[in-house]
Amino acid sequence: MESKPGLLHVEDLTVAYHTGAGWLEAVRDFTLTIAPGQTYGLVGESGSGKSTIALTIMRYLRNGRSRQGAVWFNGRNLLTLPPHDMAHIWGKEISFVPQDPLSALNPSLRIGEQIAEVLRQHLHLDKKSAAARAIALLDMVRIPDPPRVAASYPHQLSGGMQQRVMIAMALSTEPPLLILDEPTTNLDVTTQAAVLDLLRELIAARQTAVLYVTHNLGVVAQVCDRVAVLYAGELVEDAPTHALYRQPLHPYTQGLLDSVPQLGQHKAQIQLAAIPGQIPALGQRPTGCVFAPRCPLAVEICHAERPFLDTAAAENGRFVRCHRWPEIAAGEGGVKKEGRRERKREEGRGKRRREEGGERRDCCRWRI
Amino acid sequence: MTKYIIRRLGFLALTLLLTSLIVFAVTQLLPGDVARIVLGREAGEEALAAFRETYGLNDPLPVQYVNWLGNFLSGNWGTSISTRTDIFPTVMQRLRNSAMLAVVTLMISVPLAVILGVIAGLNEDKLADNVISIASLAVVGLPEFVTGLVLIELFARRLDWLPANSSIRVDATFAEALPMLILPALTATLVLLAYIARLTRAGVVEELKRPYVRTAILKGLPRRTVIVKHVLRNALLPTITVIAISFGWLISGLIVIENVFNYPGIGRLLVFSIDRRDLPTLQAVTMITVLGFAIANLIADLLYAALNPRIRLD
Repeated sequence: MESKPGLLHVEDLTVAYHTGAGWLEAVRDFTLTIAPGQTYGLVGESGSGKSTIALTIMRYLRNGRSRQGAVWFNGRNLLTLPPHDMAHIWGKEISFVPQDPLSALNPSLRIGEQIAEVLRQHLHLDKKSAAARAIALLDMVRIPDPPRVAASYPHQLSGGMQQRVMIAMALSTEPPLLILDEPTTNLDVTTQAAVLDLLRELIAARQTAVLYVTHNLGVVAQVCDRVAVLYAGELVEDAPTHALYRQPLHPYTQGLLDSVPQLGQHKAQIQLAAIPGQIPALGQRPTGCVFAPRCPLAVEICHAERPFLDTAAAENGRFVRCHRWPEIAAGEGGVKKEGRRERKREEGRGKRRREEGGERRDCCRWRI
Repeated sequence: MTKYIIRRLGFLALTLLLTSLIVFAVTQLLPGDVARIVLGREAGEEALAAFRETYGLNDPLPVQYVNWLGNFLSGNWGTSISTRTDIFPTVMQRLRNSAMLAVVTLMISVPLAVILGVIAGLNEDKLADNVISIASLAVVGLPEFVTGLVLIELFARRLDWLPANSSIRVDATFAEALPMLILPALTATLVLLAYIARLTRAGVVEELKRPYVRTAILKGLPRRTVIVKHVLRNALLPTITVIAISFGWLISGLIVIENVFNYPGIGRLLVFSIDRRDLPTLQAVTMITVLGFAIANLIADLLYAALNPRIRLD
């Protein structure tokens, strides 16, 4: 058994989908390490490959295939594990909470049974104690009247309640790693806030490591220790959350932050900047840096040569994939300011309504 | 639920009332004079008039209808014109025979069709699926009298395993009748099989794509649990409904099969009564047929509702 860092270590992962046009890479050279108990945000636009990464880690990719790299979990490479062994990891070692809880629950099984069957499977509880434990778990996720809800069917619950059920189910075996794929995206704002609060509390209490897949930087700021920013299937920046928010080193991250309103700004002052252009389609990746066609700071080398993931600050683990990050970090030659101003002049005309923490999904022209 | 059942029973009564009107009207429209048919060509005018008087054939039609319906509801179905016996016990006997055949058919066809459908659905577009789908389609295209005769030729004449003739005794018990039931039941199975199997396959294919299946797999449940407990519970809902409905067809729709095998069920009684212009029997058989279909549909709906928690009945 090789020694690998962290609880989960995704190493040089490349994932491709088979299409009519051949194999198209949705994720390229992706590397990520999650320590035990660490909460990691994986941020990107629709189509950036974030869900592909989540499902590859779970080894549950439908049409895609990992073509290169490894997913080390507790020293074992999940990608080469016999399929039979994954059943002992699913639900016990790694739990998954998907985006839409209603369709993720079986419509014709009672809520209590859907939780209890996990307990019977992995913790080998008998029928009676599993049912009792399921009710206790519903209480843990602050569902009122747990015995009644346990006897209900999914369609009888609200979206927030359904997602709480999914969370209760995911945490029922106290797994060391929890993967959340946009768990609050389909909920309304107040429900989203309540579910996030609950998640934060439950995660903190159990030292569960988390991979939180989202397009919402506001959510990441609330929940995660570290953030990995994904663009067109490539990791462009990986940093502790507070450092990333204080000083983003990749122009794409800067663009993301600029397109989210700041808390406390008056709505009359807000000018949100959208990033011009759009994410390249699979198979139409530029030869140089993937972000170069949209980047306000792009120079000749950016179009010619693909940057590697560079260590920006070794002590707190900052990584960035940009040719010009040292200039951005130093603020040299007005690189940062000029670039951001220029972009605003071009695209940031619209005044947008302020929403706390950027909760509104359509607050910018493109979704983050 | 109770409210729903009461409402559905109300609909059932209404359906039967409408049917009785149609049945009565159609028999009135049929050519020929009932008295003449019954008494024969040589009967004198006096005898005919006396007959019409006795059976109320001179009454206005609404009066005739109400009398007929009242008699029907009280189990007084009259006497067969052709056999001069009470209709009610005859129809009940045939009904029992048809029900026996229906039960045997379902016992053979349902497990077979569901298993084949599930195998095909789980192996969508693979070899097993293609073989099952093509074979079942090929079989369903054949008419019952062809498959019936082929089965007789094979199992009765060549192999001599089963009797070719299924004319069971009137008072035969189920156990006595069973060997004679197998060939007609197999023939009916071949009609039902493709239908049920394809429906099951479609249900399985559709349900497998749903996100809850992913949830079940990612919970770490064994594959068998995922399929039997999670997928089939939802995938078989339409299948169960269709099986319940097909019971109505099995009771009264096996006209060809019952005739090929000479089996004394409702279907044969229907053909017999048409042959002999036995109007009272024809009316009774038609009413029973409609009742059978209506009850089968009601059971199908109730089963679907009972098994599917998303259906709200009130």
